[in-house]
Amino acid sequence: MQIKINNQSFECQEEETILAVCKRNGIRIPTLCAHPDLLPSEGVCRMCLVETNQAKGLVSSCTQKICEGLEVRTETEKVNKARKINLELLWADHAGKCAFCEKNGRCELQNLAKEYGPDEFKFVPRRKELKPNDELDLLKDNWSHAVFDDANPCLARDSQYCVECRRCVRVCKNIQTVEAYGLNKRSSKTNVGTPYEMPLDCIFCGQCSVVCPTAAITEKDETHKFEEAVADPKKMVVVQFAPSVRFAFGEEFGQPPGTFWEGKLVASLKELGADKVFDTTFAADLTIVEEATELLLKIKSGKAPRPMFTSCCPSWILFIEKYFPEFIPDISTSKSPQQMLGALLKTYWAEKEKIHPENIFSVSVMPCISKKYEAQREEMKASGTRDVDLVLTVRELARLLRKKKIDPSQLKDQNFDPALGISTGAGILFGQSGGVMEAALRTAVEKISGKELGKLEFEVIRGDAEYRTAEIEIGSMKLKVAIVHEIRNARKLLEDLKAGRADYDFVEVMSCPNGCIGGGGMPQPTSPTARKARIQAIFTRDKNMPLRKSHENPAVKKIYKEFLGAPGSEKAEELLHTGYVNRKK
Amino acid sequence: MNIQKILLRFGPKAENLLAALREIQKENGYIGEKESKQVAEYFGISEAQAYSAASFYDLLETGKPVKKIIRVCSGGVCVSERSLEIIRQVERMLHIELDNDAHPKYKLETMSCVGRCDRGPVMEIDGKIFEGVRVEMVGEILKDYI
Repeated sequence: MQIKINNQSFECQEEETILAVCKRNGIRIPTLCAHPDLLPSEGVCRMCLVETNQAKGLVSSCTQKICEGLEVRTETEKVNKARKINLELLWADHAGKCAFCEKNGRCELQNLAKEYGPDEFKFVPRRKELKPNDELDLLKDNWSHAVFDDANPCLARDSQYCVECRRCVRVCKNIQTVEAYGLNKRSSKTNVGTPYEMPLDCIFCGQCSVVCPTAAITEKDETHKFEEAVADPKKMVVVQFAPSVRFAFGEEFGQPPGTFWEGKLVASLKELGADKVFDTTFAADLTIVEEATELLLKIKSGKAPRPMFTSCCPSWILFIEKYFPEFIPDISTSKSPQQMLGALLKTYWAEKEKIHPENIFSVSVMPCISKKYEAQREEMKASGTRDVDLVLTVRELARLLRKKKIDPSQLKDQNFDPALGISTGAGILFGQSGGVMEAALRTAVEKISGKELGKLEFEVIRGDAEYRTAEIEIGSMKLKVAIVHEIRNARKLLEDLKAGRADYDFVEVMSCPNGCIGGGGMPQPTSPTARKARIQAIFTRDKNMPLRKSHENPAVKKIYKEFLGAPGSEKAEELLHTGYVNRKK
Repeated sequence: MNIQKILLRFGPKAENLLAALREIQKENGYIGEKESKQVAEYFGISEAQAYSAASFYDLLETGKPVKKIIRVCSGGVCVSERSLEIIRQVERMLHIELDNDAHPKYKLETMSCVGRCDRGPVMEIDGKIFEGVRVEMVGEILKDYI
């Protein structure tokens, strides 16, 4: 089928929307509610209005399907006027304190305002247009239905910034199936919120904060804690950052998705005042060695009737604890890399460097909102105090750097501090869905077969399908594995297992789209293309690493020799493993 | 009657949700956290959805009402039929202010359209709806129902 857009002909398929055709051909249409991850669109923001020859009025291009003989005009006077008025209406109900807003410069509403410039605010009364009393009433009325939430450990919500685009409601319902948010009340009092305005009690994946176009839902900003710690002369600030962070961090400073910025990240952290910078990837290698050992034990102990789940994703752990507690015994007891490194920092490293654990301030930079919660869990106190004192998301770190006027692109690359900073390609793979599985297989297959692997890439489990299964042959044994990302698929998998429709030996789950690389604390905007570029960068990095198997990491070998003994030993059990709690209500 | 019993009178289908909520409101006086949890479980929907529905309708209460609430429609048609004057009249007669919580017994609120635009302006006290209210009638209504 052919349609005309702005007098140019374009080839397109049936059932496509006007917006999809425009996007593919590089014609920009502003959107606030439409999002590439959230299809089909709902058409609530009315920013994507276009003029067609089929309808008298304007139509929303994100919902309008194409038809034969359709002619679309995307930038006419009528269209621009409508967009401008709609924008003005959205602004009228928006807090609009841009200069102090966390999202300043990264807010989709602000960007649109810059583009369409509502030059006069007809819908916001000016001073002389109101009597003093009316003004106060208006303010009271506005405040009476504002909702805040900062009682949860991870996310901050402020409905005064909300434009009711419903992205968060949809991502929570359609992709994560948790349904923490609903659209409450009605008309001018409409609010996105939790039932009975209770503090958010979900799995804290933070996807709502990634898709939010304004500052209505953001990560809980904790950058001030970092500044305080750096200013405290007694504290030794030790920072670690996750594998996926280095592939996306550059986007906050104008680089294209997939820019590899490891050295720059270390340099900027040092510039901010960090005393030591370690690599979470090292702990990822450690996780693999522990997890592979656990898997081998499970397999050797006879035919394991139940699968083993990975435990790196705190949202996934919370999901099991809150909704499917019957699977708790099947989760690997290995801590996540963040917590392993945190525990080792305040025990092994502190002992070696003769520093009191209480004087270490351990910070981690994560792509994840949920890690904020994980670090606060009761069990995560191997050293007596909290193993990880502060978790910053990529967005928070970038905000801190901008505040301090540090431009990472101007800094010279620096290396990790060596003690806990050596890593392998296997650890790097942790950043994306399928990575933990592939890294674990590289170690497990070698350990089971006793032979060295020829080809390290497990192509059968790569790809970006959301529910992948494979059978890995190791000698005479067959290992059934499954990889899922996004909670809706994890739910499907658990229900499959429950009903006996499937059985697996090893299952990897990551809550966010495409794994950590699409995490809740990652730079905005997120889209399948951006995530693909980041994943490609991960694979390239893995290929270029001299060491690509976790158990060959010299630092890991050293730590077992000097401190932990062997994988699964008593000391490893104490520091690197954890337990889970039934939180079903 | 307990909530479970009320729920069992309805099939667990989406179209029965509003009817069930209304029945619960009638029995219980409001739809609180506990009730909405039961409703969500019975209809197989999330609590967020149950609360969204309950909070959408002005005639459903989501918290225990402590005062007698007088509502006057602020829909376009009712306003053009001078419902704002009725609001002023109620304010004058009961010495209260719209949306002000100060009075210990009464509260005056506006409500969204109840679909009786042809018989407006509409006001509501305690689930009882009055149609075609004129300013002169307000005194009578308040005397009878408060």
